[in-house]
Amino acid sequence: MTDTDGERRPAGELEASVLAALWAAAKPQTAAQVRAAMAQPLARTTVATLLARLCDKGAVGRSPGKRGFVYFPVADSHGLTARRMHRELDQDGDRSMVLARFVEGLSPEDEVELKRLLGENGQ
Amino acid sequence: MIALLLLPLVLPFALPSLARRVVLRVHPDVALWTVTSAATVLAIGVVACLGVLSLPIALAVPALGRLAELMQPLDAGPAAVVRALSVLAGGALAVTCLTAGRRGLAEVRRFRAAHGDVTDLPHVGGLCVVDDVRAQAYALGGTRRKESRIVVTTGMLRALTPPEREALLAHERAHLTGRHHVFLAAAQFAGWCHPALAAVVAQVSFAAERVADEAAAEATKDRRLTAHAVGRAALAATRDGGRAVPPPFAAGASSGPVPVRVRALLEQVPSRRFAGTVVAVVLVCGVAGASSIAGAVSLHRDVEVAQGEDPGD
Repeated sequence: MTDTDGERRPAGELEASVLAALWAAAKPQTAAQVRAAMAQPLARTTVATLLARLCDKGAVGRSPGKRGFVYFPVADSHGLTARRMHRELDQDGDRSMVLARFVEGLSPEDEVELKRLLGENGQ
Repeated sequence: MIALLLLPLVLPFALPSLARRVVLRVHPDVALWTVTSAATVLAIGVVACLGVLSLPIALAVPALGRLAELMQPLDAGPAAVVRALSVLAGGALAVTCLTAGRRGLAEVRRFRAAHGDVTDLPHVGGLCVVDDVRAQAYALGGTRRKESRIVVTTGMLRALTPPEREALLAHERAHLTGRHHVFLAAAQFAGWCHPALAAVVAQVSFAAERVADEAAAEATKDRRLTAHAVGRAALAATRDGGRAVPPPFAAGASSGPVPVRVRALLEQVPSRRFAGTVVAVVLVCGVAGASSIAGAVSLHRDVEVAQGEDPGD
């Protein structure tokens, strides 16, 4: 097994990255596809182990594909979580500080400034 | 000297502009600690001074005066001024306690609800993914470390490239390992105690984001990548109906916190760990502390005199 930078990190972090990659993909993925979609260079066996562990935890499901298994993330049943989450996030007025959000909404000026900084036009 | 007790009530007004300079000029770690501690110290000073200031009017109530074993009326200065100040302070203290209590409870309820939202979700390494097109991501600190969660929507994951996703996860992990929700809660509590300190909450929030951004840049070893992750996530969140209400980061400043964060990451700003502004903040806190203690000691002496002790002791 090659000792790449990614493999020295805690197992939980790599599992989280695999889960994120599966969710980011719109359809079930093979182990090879997952490996390609990871930012870290990982050995094939490592990806297989991580996927097996995620299946054991119930976060990921698998079904037989053409060549080996395809993997997909397990969603919560009724989109209930999404609705509840937005109810919390949409509470205006005195904004709660409980959640450290990655980004806040942008004002139109911020948006223009940000696109300039990132070198993006339009989009 | 009852005037000594008024100074800590005015000093918080000096903090917002100082805090703004601290978070932009000093290393984010230092800025987060400095501004949060200052806000907390000043808030405690405000509450303590309001408490001490409301003593004279409380002791003017005959029953309470007897309880404090006063043998003569308390003489803490010109009677009319002391009485007026004391009544005002008592009122302010009551309002502050009520507001802080009410908002604190609401916040605890919200905290529980936010945790309740994700308890059913499977989590891996603390990551919960919510299947939703709207781009959102947040760190949900827990009372215990293993209850902490990173909550990310599929909309957010799909808006980013794989390396950018890593930057996002590293950023959120930094919030959790740094226990930034404790800093945010302290700042918010301070904000409920004094109107000037309410303006500092945004600075603390910004400092926490900067700390997490720097941690993400460290983890990915790529400042530019991290800058792009932050920027593109913000654009995605805005595009997906994220509220375009700019948070009150800096009144009058031309841009909100996200462009400032992105610029800081792109420019490789060498941040100092120490600066004059930090000294100024410490000085403000020191003066507030010394002034409230001196004021309290002086009033204590007045009370002892009213209790019949010889002021010469």
